[in-house]
Amino acid sequence: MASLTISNAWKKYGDFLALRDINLDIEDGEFVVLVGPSGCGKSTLLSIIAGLEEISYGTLNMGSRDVTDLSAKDRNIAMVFQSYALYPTMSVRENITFGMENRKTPKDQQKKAVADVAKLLQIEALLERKPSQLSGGQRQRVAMGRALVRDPQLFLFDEPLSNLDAKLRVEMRTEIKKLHKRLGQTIVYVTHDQIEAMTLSDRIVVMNGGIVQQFADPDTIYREPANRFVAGFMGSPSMNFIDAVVEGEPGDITLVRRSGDGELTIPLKDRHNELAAFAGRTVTIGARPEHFVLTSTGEDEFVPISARVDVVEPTGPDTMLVFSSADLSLVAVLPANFRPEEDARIDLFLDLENICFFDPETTNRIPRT
Amino acid sequence: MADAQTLPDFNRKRPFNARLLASRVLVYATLIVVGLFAIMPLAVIFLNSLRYNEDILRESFIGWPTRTTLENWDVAWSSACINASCTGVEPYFWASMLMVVPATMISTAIGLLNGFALTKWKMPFASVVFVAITIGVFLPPQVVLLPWAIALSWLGLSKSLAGLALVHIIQGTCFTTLFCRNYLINLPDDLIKAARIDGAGFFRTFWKIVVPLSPPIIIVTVIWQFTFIWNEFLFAVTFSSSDFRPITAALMSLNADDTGVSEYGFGSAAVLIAAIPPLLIYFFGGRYFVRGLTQGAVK
Repeated sequence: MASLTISNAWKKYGDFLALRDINLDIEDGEFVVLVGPSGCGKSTLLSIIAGLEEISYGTLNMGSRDVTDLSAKDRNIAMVFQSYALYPTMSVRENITFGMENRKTPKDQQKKAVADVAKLLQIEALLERKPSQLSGGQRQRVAMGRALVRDPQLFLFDEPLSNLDAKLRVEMRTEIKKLHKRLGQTIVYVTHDQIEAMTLSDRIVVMNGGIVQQFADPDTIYREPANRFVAGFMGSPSMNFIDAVVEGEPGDITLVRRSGDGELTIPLKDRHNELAAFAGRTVTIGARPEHFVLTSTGEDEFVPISARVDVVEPTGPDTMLVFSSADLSLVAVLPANFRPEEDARIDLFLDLENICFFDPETTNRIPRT
Repeated sequence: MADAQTLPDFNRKRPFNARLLASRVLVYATLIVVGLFAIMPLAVIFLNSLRYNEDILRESFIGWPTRTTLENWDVAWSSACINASCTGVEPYFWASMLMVVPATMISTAIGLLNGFALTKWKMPFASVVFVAITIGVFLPPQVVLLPWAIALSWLGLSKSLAGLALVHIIQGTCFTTLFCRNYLINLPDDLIKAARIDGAGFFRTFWKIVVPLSPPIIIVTVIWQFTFIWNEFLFAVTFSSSDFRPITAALMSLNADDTGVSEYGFGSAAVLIAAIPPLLIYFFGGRYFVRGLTQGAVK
């Protein structure tokens, strides 16, 4: 096991900058998830960590070793691929031992290592089969076995669950988390699925356009997103963004949105005094779907919003509601038993305590004071 | 409601359609005529190999045997004269075999290795190299005849088995590289990456991962190369001598004696003997050939 430090990493393909000045300090035993939309550079970064791609500028350290110029095989890493990349002509056992064969590990050690890993992943019965004779979940296990058997310093996972069906994906997700808890290895895991990112990670790296947008623990990412991109990318359904003008003075601020379809007024009173600096200017309110509730506790923490129901989408545990307010189309997640008629006029309450605000110019979150 | 227990009548006949029937008849008639036309040369040669030469000369070149004999095959194989040495085609048959088998194997191996290096290994100017190699596919063989003659004499391999094999290995590499490169480009990159992380180098990855996955294209290139080199005539005539002559070149000077009589009987048998190896290869490998060529066409 080892920590991983990436300093000032850049990657250039011709004129295209795939990664720009990446700096990450990943601690020993940490489970870090790289997440972002396609083309954000997360897979490129993983390839660079693996040594499959050369870095254009910057350094990479594993523990106290500088691995920047080492080839993949000398970095002591293991990788699980999205396609599993099992060698089709070899049996499961041969797949698992191929790496040890290449490193000329003694046979008896190989045998013991295979037995241990097979037991850990419950693939003992599959060892003599070919990958084509395995189900998706079994292939996934074998791919993990191949990575685990070498006891590397660092594990890399490249979207390992995206080829599985929904049910299996959830199962394997839990299993990977258990495995990490048990073995305590350092893991870097790439996914585009933000639920995987939230559930698995100790810390999340949100990337976009080759730049790290935020590197923090899941709660911070969700509650205090660094900018509008992170806020919109993490969370499903997505966060609602409402542009409104800051009026009033410190201690008595009101957010107002005027449009042809009506007016939306949100009195903040003495909350969110950080907005005072924006008096007279527009800010973006970020409200997650669960920040709309049906009943107010009577405190002025909740502001009534009048809404017209557009679409009701029952998901089972919740009801997803698409509604209009003023000229906006917003999404709320409400209790499952709430089933209003479409086009009905209802009152929702916005939870002022949990919403956040973004500077529309920089798109950065305005920190609370 | 639908009743899933009682079976419906599966034997429903389509209504009779005269136009459909007529078009079928037309299609099959055309196919049969074209098919007969295609098989005719082979049939004529085969029948002539069973006829006495005097019958062929007296009756007609194309005709059904009135008497049959297997003597032609024996003469063609072991006693017909070629350039005044009356050994039949046997030594030339084996000479061809000795040249074709190694040339086929070596050019296939080089093609596979090239294909791997061009597609799965970070090779500078891979696309330029690939284009340069495949130009050879489109170059008429007459163009390279003289350069080869000079090259072989430099190498001291003029008119030798090794020299002709070398010509075929290098000419063939253009084709095998094209085939193998197009096959291997569809091999998942992740496999090669996984092997790299597993610590396998270029040749180990090639041998343990790529070769075991390549039988379909190996079969295609072997059939192609074997048939092509075996049947090849221009190089065979140009770069051979009485010490070493492939069967295609030997057939040209096939005669019974010096009387100048056309020997259609064992001539036909000799031609068929020369055609047997590629035919066998195609009979046994043909289905792989078709499968291999279309592999990767649809995912």
